[in-house]
Amino acid sequence: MSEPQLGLVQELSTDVKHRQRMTAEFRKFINGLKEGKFLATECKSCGKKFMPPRFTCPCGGKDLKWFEVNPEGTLYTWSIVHFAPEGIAKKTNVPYAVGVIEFEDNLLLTGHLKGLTSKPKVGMKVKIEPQELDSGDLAYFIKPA
Amino acid sequence: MAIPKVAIVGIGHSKYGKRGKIIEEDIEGEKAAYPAVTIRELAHESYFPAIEHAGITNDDVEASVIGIAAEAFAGQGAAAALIADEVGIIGKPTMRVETACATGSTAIRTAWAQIASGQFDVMAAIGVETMTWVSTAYATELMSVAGDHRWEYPYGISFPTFYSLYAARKMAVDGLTRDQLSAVSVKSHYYGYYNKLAHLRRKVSIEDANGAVPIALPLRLYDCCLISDGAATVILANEEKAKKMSSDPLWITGLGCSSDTMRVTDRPNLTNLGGSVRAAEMAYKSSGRSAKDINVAYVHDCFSIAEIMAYEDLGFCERGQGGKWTEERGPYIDGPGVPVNVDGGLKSKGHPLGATGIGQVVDAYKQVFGTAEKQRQVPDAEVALCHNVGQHGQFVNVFILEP
Repeated sequence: MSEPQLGLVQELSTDVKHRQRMTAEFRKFINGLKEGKFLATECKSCGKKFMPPRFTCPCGGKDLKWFEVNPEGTLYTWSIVHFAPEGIAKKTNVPYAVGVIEFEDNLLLTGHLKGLTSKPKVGMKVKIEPQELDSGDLAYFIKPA
Repeated sequence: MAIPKVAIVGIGHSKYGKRGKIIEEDIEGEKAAYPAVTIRELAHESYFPAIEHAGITNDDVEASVIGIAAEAFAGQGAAAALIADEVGIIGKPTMRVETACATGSTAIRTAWAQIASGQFDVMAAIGVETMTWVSTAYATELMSVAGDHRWEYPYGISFPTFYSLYAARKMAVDGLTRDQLSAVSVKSHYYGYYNKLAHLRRKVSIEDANGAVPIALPLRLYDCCLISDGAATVILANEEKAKKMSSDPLWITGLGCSSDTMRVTDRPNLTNLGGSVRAAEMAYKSSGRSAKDINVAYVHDCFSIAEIMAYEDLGFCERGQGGKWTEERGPYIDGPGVPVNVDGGLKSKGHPLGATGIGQVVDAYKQVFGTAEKQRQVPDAEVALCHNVGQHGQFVNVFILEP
């Protein structure tokens, strides 16, 4: 198979960055990345945990606390994308791989999957790492642990 | 628990396909030609036959609901106004509704609600979409931006990728196989071949599907539905009007709808669509029917994996057994289960987003009243089910339809 290990997030287009525009709460997550931490939130009312972090809880809770997630987990599912949306395709090459990492507490996060040396396998050990983009922005990717 | 009586009294369905150019077909010596059209003419192609079928004129249509999923495909803003004007329903309330790929069924549900409330007696639900006028990359973009713009889209999650995440998970958890995915496409194309209004009338084999180009692995070309132009219309009426104007009303006896989390990772599993389970439960409950009563079903097969999950979510087979049920010919007319997508489904008939959910109901009408092409007609079909999904379960509508 062709190598599904391209660094898509290295090449986020301006358009995509616009969609990721900073807000005060999202900045907390990004600031966590700067320190190498993956921050999730937990509802103080019902105890439900959220990754990606939510800032309000479906239970009605508006008071959520931040906590740090262990960046190591397992691959929950995967895909190797051969036809990209136009906004992505302009900035990267296909194919590229996408994965969902399962952290402790059954928390899941979608991300770009890099550094594969063989076909991805559900259950394989993976970890998530922050990555500073050429633009100076921060993102993250999933790689084999 | 019965719902207010509203019936489908008129149907119209355009030819689905790449309608920007003239289409000439020759299937087993039966020749047909279709002109090049835009959303205007497509609306005509479905609406005029529908009012003629209902035996009414525009004077009788009190309001309309127009289903168009993404106006960017046609480059027309306020498109509901354009479509209503084109077909001549002028000076009467209209609106555009949008729930991604479930837009068509939401147009029907919206018209149903306006009739059930007593506000109007007779309405038109018109779904139309022209998707082949833009590049495939741009069409993929328009569908992919529906992923969460902070947490999904920037990481390269195209629309097919969402369903490929489900497929890879289901392969690992339920033992779903490549051959089982392909068996869905083989069935869709078998029935679509006989549907004169289908986009891609070509039979395919398991080998064709297994060896097709990768789109978003594990999904390959034949796992993915078509990008199509097309339109479909139904005329709806309340009980009094329906009984007066139609000798063959098709009653909406059950109606269910639901939604799901925006992000795919916030769901309890990736082996079924919770929105479909909830919508089906509501539809069955409101009609007093269950899965075993269904004689013909239309399920949202935007991808082969979606159809397999639908078999399970709608209760046609046990959970986790959708792949096996396909191999056992469960969804075939002559099979042991429920005939599914005997119009070719989104895979072979096509998927013009706004029209799709209405097109399902149009074909259900034909099946129930025995007017489909004979090679794909289900004998003695009475109870039909239509299942239309927007995104990967963020919007779901299920109808139970009976004469």
